[in-house]
Amino acid sequence: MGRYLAQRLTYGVLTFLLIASFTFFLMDLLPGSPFQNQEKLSPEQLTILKDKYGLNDPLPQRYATYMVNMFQGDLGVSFKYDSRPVTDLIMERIGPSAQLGAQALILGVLAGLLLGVVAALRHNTSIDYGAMFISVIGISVPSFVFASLLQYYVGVKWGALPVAFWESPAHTILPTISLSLGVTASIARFVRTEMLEVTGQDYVTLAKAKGLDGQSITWKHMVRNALIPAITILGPMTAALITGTFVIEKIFAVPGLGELFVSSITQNDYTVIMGTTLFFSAVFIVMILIVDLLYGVVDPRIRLGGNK
Amino acid sequence: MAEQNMKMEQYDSSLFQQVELNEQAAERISGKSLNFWQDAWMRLRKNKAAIMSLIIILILSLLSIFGPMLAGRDAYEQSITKAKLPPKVTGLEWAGFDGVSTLGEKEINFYETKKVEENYWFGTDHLGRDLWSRVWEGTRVSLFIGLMAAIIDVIVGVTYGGISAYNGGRVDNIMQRIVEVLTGVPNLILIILFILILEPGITTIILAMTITGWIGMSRLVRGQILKLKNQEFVLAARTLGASSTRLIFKHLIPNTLGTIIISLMFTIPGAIFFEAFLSFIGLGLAPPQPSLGTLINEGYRELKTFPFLLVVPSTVIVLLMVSFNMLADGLRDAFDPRLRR
Amino acid sequence: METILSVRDLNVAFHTFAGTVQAVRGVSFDLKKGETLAIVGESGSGKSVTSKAIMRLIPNPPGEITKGEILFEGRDLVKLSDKEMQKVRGRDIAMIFQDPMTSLNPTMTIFKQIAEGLKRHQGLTGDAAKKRTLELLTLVGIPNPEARLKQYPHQLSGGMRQRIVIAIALACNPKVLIADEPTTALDVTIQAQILELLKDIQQKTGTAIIFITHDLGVVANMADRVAVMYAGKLIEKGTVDEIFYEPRHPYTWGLLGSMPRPSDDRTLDLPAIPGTPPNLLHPPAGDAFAPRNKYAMKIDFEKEPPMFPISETHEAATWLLHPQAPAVEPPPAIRELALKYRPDSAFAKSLLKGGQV
Repeated sequence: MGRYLAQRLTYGVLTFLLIASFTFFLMDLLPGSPFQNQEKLSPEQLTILKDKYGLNDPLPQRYATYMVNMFQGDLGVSFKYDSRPVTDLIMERIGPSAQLGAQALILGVLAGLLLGVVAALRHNTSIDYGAMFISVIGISVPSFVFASLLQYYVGVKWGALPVAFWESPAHTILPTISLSLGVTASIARFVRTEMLEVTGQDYVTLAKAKGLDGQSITWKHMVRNALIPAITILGPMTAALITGTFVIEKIFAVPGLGELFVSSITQNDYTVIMGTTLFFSAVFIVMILIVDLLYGVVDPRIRLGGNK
Repeated sequence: MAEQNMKMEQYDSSLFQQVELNEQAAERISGKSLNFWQDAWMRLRKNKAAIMSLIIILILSLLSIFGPMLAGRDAYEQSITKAKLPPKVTGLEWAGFDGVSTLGEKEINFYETKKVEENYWFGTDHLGRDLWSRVWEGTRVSLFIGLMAAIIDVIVGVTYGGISAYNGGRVDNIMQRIVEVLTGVPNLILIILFILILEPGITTIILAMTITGWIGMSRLVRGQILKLKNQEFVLAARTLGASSTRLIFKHLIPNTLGTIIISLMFTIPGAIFFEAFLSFIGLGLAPPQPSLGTLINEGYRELKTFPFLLVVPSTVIVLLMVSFNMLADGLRDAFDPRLRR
Repeated sequence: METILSVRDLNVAFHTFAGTVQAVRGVSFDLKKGETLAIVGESGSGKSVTSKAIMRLIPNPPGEITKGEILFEGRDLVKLSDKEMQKVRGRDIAMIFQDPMTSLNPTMTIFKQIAEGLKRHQGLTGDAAKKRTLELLTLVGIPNPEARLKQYPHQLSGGMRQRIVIAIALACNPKVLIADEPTTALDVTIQAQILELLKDIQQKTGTAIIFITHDLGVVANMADRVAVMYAGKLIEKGTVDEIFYEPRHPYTWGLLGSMPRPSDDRTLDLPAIPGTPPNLLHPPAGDAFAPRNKYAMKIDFEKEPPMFPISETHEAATWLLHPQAPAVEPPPAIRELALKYRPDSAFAKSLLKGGQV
């Protein structure tokens, strides 16, 4: 377990360094970035840039400065929001995004689990087909299409829930549902497949041969073993959630990181783009790490070592 | 025992003549044997959802090529006097294609108020461009992006995964460590950064999507080849002196083809989604080039007054995505009956 | 001896994509208290399906018991509700599976997996369950049982795991133990240990065992009585001596003939049964073995042979036993065995006269 952990951690750090370096060279070398178009900047911004990044230093030195700054939490200043530090902007916006992401993840995982388990237990019945139809739709309908329609019908036409902004729990309902749809669908499909796989396992037959009732077999022997592989898709799910927040926050005017990211793209606010990119990458990498550790904890074959 | 004393039934004695046994007949395999592809096709044919999906994809593909010609209108021609006309099809008025839209509380027939004689089947956008032509033009762009991205993924992924698995040992080890580092990269963010560097456009989007897109494919191919490599028929071919090229092209690739095709079919809707997503957040194709994503983005802006501008391209993209996903599911079941659920 | 389990005209079918497979076609046999009955046959002969049907573990769909009775202590198991059947499984009839590597739940400790049955059927929990579990682990010969309780299956070897599976089966002192090829997946030395263990347990507990196998060596070692299955039917049954030294069915001859013996002349080919078993999607008319049977007669292709009684314990389904059938000469290996070990039997005497009845 110790070795496993160390290995995972190393990959996480390596990946992050790769992304950070890529980001740096992008900022530094590419046409269109503020470093190459100094005439577009105000004198004040130019001073800050020179001061911070040593624009006239040789490349390796600038790279070092950038990396050191980054690890100290200094991601530069925004060119649009009155030269405010990017770190401050991110901190301000974390709250709504984290809440939205967490709500959607919990809703999606629970609904997906339920749908997947029930579909597998009622395999090849109309319940199964219904659940799988919902999940195909959930995977196929892009979240922004679903969100737009939800906003139009539930918010505008029926006036049942707030159309936009982030003010009360009621305001969070539509964005959460929109964001969780894809998660629900993916988890339902995955869990169903795993459950069906487990159904044919010898240890399930043995559990039946012990005379256990259906409930114990389902919950103690099947669901637990089916869920272990399902943990692995929490990584990709996080990526999907981050992606989702970009459009969902835009549609529902949620003052979160996704909205900051998208608006910085349209405004060519490069430092903010880079800062949020690094932040999202870090979140994603940490989530993958957590998933790996969780897998190790839940699966005794990894926790206790031995043949897998 | 009573049974022992029971009177045996008597039969015609000719029945008890010995029969000359034909050894070949005993070894004959009964039943017609199907090869892998025939077998898969037979199974796919029985999957109604997959066949329906295949038909829908074919229809949408044909429309994306010939659709604009059917209406006889240019997808780029603007006409301010004919802007924002709702869909109207003669004979389909009952289904909502009546040219009437609700503005505020009132129902208005825009064709009458704007004095337009001809019918626009899907209506027109804010610049008076024909939505029918634009939607099919956009579908063509989306399909092209999806197909190209999937093909590049396959080429890169199969090569990488194939080399990694076929060589094994240290080469495999190093190549897989690289993959492990790359899988930690959130692909969308990489795509966005890449698009920021290059001019937005079809090529950029395709390239950006393939930067990390091939990883999944390479893992599948590697897994499959590693499994095959140690199977008896490959060892047998090797023992018989088959060359590496022959091994790869005659034994390994054909047996991996099912996996590749399934993955390819899942990649296409993924790429279509990404294009639409990028266009929606303003990173997609530059106007006036239509794609399903840009059309949805434009439609979203008019959602509150002219919902058809969003509903029409959304319906097409949802149909495409559902069909590709269902067809991919069907293919997976057909190629790998063990996974049939 | 008293009959504990009686299978009457059992039929099991699987409804598959390609059609209905008649996996078991009219199997009947009795199991007596404390005895070991071996069911032998090649892969796909329906022996495993028969054993799973007794436990009502045939997955439905696609499988289904289409006809027949399984009488356990006078009750027909086929007619029991699922709830009633759950009470029979594990308590009255228990089962050991073929592959110990996959038949234990990888995420549950050994203790929990054994104690589950104890709790379910005997209401044992806590210390009582632990005490009984330790007894069971000792019974199946697991060294240092206390330390094993908290372990997971992947921490044990294949042989140890099979002992755990046996402990699970024995937990509630079942009256019938079904062992479905329990040693096939194990190394030869471990195989012998497990077989010894089963024999030992049978002596201690008096449980009746149905032993499913394709290995005639194991049969000779374990069984009191033997039933031979082919293409979903029982084609010959008798005591272990009758099957080995006085076999009557050409298929049994083939099976015994294909078993290598150290005394064999190694320059000769080991006799094999030509061909493959029939496709049970479309079972052939007549005797299913006829196309592979070099003694086949015209009637074999037209009419299914009934079970012909040979002695009180021995019967076989082959037209060769019909009075009208010509006398035939069994393969030399069979003849040799019969004359060597059973020179006084009716079978051996008829052989000396130049053929079978």
